[in-house]
Amino acid sequence: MRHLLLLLVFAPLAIGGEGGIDVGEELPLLADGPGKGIQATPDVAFGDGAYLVVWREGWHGKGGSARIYAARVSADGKVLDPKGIEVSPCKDGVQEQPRVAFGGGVFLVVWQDLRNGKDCDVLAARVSPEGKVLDAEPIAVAADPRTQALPAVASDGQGFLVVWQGLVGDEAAYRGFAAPVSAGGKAGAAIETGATPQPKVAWNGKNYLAVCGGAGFWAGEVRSVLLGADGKPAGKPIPVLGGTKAAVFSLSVVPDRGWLVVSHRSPPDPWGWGGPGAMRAAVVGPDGRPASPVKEEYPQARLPHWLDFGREKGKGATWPWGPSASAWAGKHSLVVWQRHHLGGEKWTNFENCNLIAARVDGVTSLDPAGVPVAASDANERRPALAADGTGGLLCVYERSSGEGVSRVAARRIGVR
Amino acid sequence: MSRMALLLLGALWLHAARAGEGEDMPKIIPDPSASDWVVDRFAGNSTAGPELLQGPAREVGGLGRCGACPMPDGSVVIPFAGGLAEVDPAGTLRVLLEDGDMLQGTTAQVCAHAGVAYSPKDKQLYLAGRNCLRRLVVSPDAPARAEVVAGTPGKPGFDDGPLAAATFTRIDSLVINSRGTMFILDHNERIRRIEDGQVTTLNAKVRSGKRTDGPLAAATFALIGLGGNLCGGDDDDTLYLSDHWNFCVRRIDLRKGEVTTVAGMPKPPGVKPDAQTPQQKRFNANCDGPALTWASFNSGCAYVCWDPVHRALWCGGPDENRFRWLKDGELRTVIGAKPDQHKWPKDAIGVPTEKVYLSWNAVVATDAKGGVYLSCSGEPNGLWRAYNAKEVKP
Repeated sequence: MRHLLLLLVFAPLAIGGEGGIDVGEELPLLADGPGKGIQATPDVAFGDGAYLVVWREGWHGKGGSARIYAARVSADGKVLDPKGIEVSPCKDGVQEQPRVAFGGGVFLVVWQDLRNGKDCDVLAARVSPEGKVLDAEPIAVAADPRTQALPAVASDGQGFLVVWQGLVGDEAAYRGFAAPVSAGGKAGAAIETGATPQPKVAWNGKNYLAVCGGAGFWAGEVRSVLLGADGKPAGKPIPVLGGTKAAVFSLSVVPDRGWLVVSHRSPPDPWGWGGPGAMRAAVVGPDGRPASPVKEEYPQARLPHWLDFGREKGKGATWPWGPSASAWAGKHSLVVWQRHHLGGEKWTNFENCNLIAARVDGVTSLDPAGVPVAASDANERRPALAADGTGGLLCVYERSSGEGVSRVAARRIGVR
Repeated sequence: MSRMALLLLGALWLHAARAGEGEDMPKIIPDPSASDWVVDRFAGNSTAGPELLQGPAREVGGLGRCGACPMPDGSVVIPFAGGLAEVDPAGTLRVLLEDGDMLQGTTAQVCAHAGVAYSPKDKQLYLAGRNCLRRLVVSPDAPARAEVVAGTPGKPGFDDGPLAAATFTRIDSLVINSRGTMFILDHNERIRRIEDGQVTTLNAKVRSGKRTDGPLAAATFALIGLGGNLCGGDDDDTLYLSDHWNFCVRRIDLRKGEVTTVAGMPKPPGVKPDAQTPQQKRFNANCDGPALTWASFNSGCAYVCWDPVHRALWCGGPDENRFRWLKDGELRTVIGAKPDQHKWPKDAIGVPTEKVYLSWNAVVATDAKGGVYLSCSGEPNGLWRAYNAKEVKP
């Protein structure tokens, strides 16, 4: 009977999967948006029976006027807002880097906003499960002078905690901050967390974990620190994964075990000094301490916590590198990451990027070869994931086909 | 060390160097102007992380190792691994082109600094694309485009001929003179010229690994891997080439069609290290001094950049942690004379040059005001602008 139910739940997943992963057909979210063919940096959260997908709509560089858009997708994969929802209309500047979480009966969308034309602020707005924007004027989470940017958000079920990086006074180095935002839309005072740069945050039922990624080219590392519900840090960030260059990572909760952190290793280089490429997993326990290796010198073989491995540089070579996403899928974590095909004279150019998935138990991949999620001739990048709590997930990503055209698309994923 | 002491020491070293070229020639010989130079962070902030930000140029992350192309309107175009950005005269950085796929692929360690050049003749910006040359087409309210003007993306080769029929393999350097003639260092092997719609290859002997001066068609270079670049010189008919694995700088006189070596002591014969003379031991040790006899580069000569204001050639190897120029037949240190990598104020402005420590570095551009743009792929990455405080204002 249980198998029959699972079959019914995932019947709409048209594309057959491998192992225990089923991947559905690609869903375009907004076919003719105002962004003139430019959609980017998606994120997704699940709440009250539907997903809310958010993304940047339009050009955000010089001359641009990008806005944050959103659309709901039902748990069975129907786009409920085919015309999209403009989250915070305004006249000037650009909005970018949206992130979303669900708690207290509402979605909270956060983003960085360059509407003053000088530097970014962190703003937010609530969206109801019915798709209505609840804040006509955005909530100013961090609007102090100088750059306040790269927000991320999570919920403890009642309210939200927003983390970001910002500059203070005349200092040259960024600091990490957190501020609570209530489900009613009231932002609390900012607290310094030490988690910077590019902080991310997730709630495990008792604490938030803030994770940040170093900018170090040779010695970048991913670090984490426990935060209370008000954002107060329990200490200083400690290393979770070392041996990475330009740390880029994802974070999700693993019930009863803590959190899962996924990050790449080194990029391909002509001399091979950085060693092999890898997409790696690490578990941070409920006490905020890593339960898996932090440092890897120059391994020549795939290590147990490597979800993917950059193969020898040559024809057909692939290399895992860049953003990833993870979410708890009921029995295991599901991780989606970027796998590039290599080309060029030295086999160090990224020629085409696909998205690959694996179920992960602890730090061990249950699908060592990886399961393709999006693997067309176009580049599929920047995945984000959310789970519906019953084994169904929605993976959203950028799909770019050259000449600056980029769309946000989604696929349902079922995990058996 | 105070600036005055540094200046005095530099003068003493210079005196010793010129007097006898003796065995006690110091490794570092500060240029007499070294104490007058200061360095500002220009763009990028390594504490911001790898994600690209926009806003005040000194507050943005995500540039990593990058290049610079000063424009006539006072803005600076910055090629980086993810695309192209612009810093306007007010110091605000905005993205011009984000799709890095259209540009020559760069790994995190390799500098894209030589792949962008402005043509004063047609007032266009040209970019190194994959197997092709592109031109930037700017739109007022949309991302810029990079349209192909020569070669074919995805079709590597070295075929000469009309622009559309010619093929390129990997454009490592792009130089455009005031007449609009373009010179391309292609895959670190061939020097190619684009003039009157035709692509021609100027040198014939490739992959010889030797250091042969003389007629350009027969000259040989040792450009390996991804080191080495081409830059313009003091007139439209002069090019300089960092001949990476010959550990030297070559000057190309296009009018005469001749190549000469202008910096970098010869590689010593294969004698054991303990049998080498003090002069021979200076090879591959980034030493200053008389350019052709006592001066050397470290791990090869990785970059050259002509400075029209100071009439000097900035040049260096990848592992030198300081910036030197070739002037009046000598190689001298101008920036980073007394490095202390743990103490230098990484993100400040007005940093005295003796405190600057930038590893895996290069001079990537100079501007008409005497500014010199520095980039490095170590920490902290991003772009700096050095200038002589006695000559120009920031």
